[in-house]
Amino acid sequence: MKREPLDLVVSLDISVSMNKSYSDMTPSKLAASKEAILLISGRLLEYKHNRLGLVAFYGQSIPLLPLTNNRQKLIDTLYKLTFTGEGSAPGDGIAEAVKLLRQSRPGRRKQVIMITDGEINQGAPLEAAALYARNMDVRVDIIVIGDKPRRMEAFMSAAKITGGTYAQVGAKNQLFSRVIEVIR
Amino acid sequence: MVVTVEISGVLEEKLRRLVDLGVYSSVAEAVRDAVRNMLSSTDMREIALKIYTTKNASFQYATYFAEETFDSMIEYMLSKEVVPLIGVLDRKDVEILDRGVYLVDPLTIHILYKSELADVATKSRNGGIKMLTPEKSRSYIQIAEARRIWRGMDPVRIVATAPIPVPSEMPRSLITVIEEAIINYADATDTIIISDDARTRLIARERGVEAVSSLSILLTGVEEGIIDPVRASEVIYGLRMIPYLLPDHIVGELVK
Repeated sequence: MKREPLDLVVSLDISVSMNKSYSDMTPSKLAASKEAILLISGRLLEYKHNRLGLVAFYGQSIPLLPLTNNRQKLIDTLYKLTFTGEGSAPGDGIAEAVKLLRQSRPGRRKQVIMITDGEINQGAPLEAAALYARNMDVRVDIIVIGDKPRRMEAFMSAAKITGGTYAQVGAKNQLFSRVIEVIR
Repeated sequence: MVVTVEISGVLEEKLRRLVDLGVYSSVAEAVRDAVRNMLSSTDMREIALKIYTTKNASFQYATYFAEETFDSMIEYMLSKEVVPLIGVLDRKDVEILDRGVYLVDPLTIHILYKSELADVATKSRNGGIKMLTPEKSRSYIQIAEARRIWRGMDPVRIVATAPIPVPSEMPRSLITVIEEAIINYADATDTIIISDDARTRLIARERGVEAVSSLSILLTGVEEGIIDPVRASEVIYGLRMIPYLLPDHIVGELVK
């Protein structure tokens, strides 16, 4: 069955805690997350109609890469993304990703994958951001790296509102498996 | 292959009826059809994954067994939380390439063309690193070249085919006939194999054949000064899309 082209934005947590390692995710959770994003792009961007964008968030959110099929731009962006920041505002991360998807055209699937280690201490409430995503027909899949987050229910509920999924991963193979699963 | 199977009772009765009614021309034909149906309803990827994880088969053998492409087999394995051993496992997998000719297998052809290693290889060693593969691998080169052009990358010609004899029977080790041919040829001609299949390298080394990963091409390019550390990092990022295993300390050495 032929599927509609996909516009995907990855919302990546770059808070300070992502600089720490976790199980085999060395030297850091951020490095493993970048590998997972490269893995997604290796599959998605093989098809010229698919596009990928990138948002980073800590206490605030930053649009890094508008929707593109240019893998070199993605590689450059991820390579240069070495900074981290204080605080964690995943709600803002979702909202910013949905804003990037406003460039999407009818007839395309719109999806956000959030990769985070699960802290929430700033920014827009997750539920509000999820509502915004749902109203923009955007599905949000949330992947939490590491231990069970303190506000797991908030993440689960946000994903559910948009028709997306929530998963918690503890190792690199689980992270890779999860990202492959959610872009299928 | 001749197999003797004892069938009795209800099964025998039903089989005989099928033959009597002309559904099958013989009991043997009915049994053959039953085997075909059984195999077509079995998920060969699942069996291939088991062979890979429990019997130390090469990734290329698992892909051949499952009748999948390299990309689809990688994706299947990843979805089952198995990261295929493609790439570099330790330092001995990466060497400076200073010999005349190297042998490559189909998986490595796939990776060379899919990544930017092919471009580095063409610029390296004053006119390119010379790589050979058996005639039987020609279709892998053609597909890899076509995909590269389709993706908007510059065409390159870095792997040539050679009349390397390929065995007609499957080898005992769980590798493909092409991998077997390459190992045998490398052994006979004292040639080094470039393979990104960690299991292929392991089997080659067990037979006294030197085998390195394709990351050696990048190391050679860096040592020759034809690629700077920033560009090397970008090539590494591109390899991660496969995904290509790369221990942190080796990455550090390449981009220092």
